Amino acid sequence: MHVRVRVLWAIVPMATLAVCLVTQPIHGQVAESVRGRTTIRAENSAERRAWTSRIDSMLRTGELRLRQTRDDPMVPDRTHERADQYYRGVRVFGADVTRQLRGGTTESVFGTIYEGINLDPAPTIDEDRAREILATRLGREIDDRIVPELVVLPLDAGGYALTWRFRVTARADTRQYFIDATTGATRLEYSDRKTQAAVGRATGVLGDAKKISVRSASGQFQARDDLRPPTIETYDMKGDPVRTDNVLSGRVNLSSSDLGSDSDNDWTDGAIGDAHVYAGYTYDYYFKRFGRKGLNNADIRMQNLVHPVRRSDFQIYIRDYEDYFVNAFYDGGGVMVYGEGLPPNVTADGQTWDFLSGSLDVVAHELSHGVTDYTSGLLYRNESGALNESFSDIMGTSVEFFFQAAGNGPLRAEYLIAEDVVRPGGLRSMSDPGSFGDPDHYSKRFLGSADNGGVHINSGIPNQAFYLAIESGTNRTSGIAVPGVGGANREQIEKVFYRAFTQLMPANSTFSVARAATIQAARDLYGANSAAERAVTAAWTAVGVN
Amino acid sequence: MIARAHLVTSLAAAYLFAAPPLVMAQAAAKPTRFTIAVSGGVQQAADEVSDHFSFPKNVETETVDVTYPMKPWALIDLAAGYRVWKNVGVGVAVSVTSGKGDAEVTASVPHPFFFNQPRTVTGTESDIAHSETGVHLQMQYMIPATGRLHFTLEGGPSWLNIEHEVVTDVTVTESYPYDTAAFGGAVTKSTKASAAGFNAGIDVTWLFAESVGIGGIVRYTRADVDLAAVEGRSITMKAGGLQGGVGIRVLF
Repeated sequence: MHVRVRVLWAIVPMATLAVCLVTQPIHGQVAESVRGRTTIRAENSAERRAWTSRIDSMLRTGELRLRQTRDDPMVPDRTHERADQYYRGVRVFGADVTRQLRGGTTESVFGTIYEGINLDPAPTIDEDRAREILATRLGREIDDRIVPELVVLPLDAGGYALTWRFRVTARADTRQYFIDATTGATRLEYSDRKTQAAVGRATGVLGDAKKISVRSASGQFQARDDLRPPTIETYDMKGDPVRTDNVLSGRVNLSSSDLGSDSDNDWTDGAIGDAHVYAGYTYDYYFKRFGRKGLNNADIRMQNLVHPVRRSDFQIYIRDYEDYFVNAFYDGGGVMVYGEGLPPNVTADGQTWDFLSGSLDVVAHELSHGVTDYTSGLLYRNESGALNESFSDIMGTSVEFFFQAAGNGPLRAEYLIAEDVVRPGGLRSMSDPGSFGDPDHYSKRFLGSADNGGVHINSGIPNQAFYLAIESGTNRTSGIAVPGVGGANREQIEKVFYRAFTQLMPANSTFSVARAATIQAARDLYGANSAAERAVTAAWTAVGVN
Repeated sequence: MIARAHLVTSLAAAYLFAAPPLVMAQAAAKPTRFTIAVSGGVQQAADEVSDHFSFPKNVETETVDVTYPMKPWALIDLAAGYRVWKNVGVGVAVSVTSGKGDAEVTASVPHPFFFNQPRTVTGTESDIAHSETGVHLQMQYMIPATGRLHFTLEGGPSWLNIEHEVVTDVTVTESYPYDTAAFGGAVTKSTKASAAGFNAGIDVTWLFAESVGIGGIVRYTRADVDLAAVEGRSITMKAGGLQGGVGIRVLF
């Protein structure tokens, strides 16, 4: 009507008044910017009477059809009707009216109806053809069980289109498609899935701000990343170690209600935020650096479990659940558990322990155990076990250098492990393993049975080799100097070690096999006698592995 | 804008000074009371319009810059005049222009995972509809006719209405790892607004019959219109411009 009035006005200005008088709206009818749409909001008895008359008339002519009549479960003597608008037998999408009746008298009316529809309700394109069109567009068959509905679609820009409406569910989304029943064009499509990926702000364990990819569902935000190819979920175990045990043992399944959640998408639980964000960073690193798709290279789901205990329960649980305080571990199948740290007044070996997920290298370290699980499967004992640990340290540190600026201090990339949350100093050093009592040379390797044959101890030897191959330097034990490739070329050594550890090495590798495999990888990637090969060879020699 | 107005004014003034000798040299034609003019032509392109807006996206701010390059629009002009006293008359004209153009869009879209790593996308949204309707009230001075030629100087207030599609959002196509993004299209909204302005021009008619002839109109009209793009944000667009057209004239 609006357009018509404007055109008329342009030609015969005085006609405007006449047109307006003729089309005077019913009270309770709200003008809308979308042409032809009338929003019904009858708020007094006169409006209700007018709309009751209009609705009854439309019900008689079939312009409205009752879809539902229900007695009010909350207020006695009330009935609720819901009617859809039809145009010449075709439902008008999004047009319906609700009427509350009290003993047969209209108590309230709300709704949306469309006027001025003028189209042929007979489709030129039939249902099967529309299905073919959509299948071609989506590049896959549309299941025969999906029955499209012929509807009149009010267009956002004004006007109407006769369309076939499909609701198609795929793994990634559920979408509504409206295929024009005359031209075959897609008139409208939108996601109909009632959850949605969202980006929020998280404050990490160290107080740093970062973006967090989450899901918006049911009025809150959940720690589920739907933006990356694998599903990444972070669960809040709410300080229940028994339940955490049961989850890890498979006796209890996690549900969406266990997901970490936040009401305003400004996440202040640093343990949840960092575990979730850093798992995403680790996936990003593997993808961007090596083209790898997650732990199993097939986008296996990654699940982080945080708050397995509460620090306030330290006295109660430290004896039985020490790992839930001062450890982080990969439990297989893409599941990681991050310890809670220690209460502020408790130290271990003079160090304080913060939430373990607050350190990027810790998160990347644990996830890299998953990569090892799905590749070499390095046996977790003796030298192969030390190589397993070393690969996680190497990747954890590499992820740090990928996302953080090099330097010392919090949120800086260097060759310490877990230094951001185990303070001061962290747990291990790749540049100087001896500073933590770990060997930096094969001659000093631990030969006892503790720690599965020293998997966290002897990892210092390959760690030192990796460090020297990049940064150059002299091994403190052998005194041999290594010409590294330099920090600017660290990508070369990262790729060499990744290639060797994930593709070349067998499960029961020794340090000597690791040396040979990394040299081979350097030749494969950068050629014989390349700087990378020379650096790797010299580094292993410096740490006494031949 | 000043230069255009000056041009029109200069043309009109030059004619005024040049006209008297012609009038004196020829016999005056029969004065007419009513004139009706129907013209088709073109309205000169208005100045390019720029828009800038921003909104929260991925915990940062997405900025969008849009330019609407203007081009000449087809014009239909209807006018009527009435000689009130001697050579002085009043008139009203309605001009309608419409067409479609492009919008050049540049957006800086924040990365979903990282702060301070925006992706820049650029693109063109075509078929941006634009139409203008002008109502021009005019005082007219009918220069004494010289044979079959009739000249009318006219000017006065105008009421100009613009209906224009405005870009309100940008859709981007992106996929993991989201380090780059591409322009996917623009979300547009049709909006309209009006403003008062002015008009000045000249109509030249050559009668090939006693009351019917052909004529041309040159008119400059202008108003600054604030188009409400979304709540709290408007775009100032210059409505009107130099209009030129030819068509049928009826004088009686």
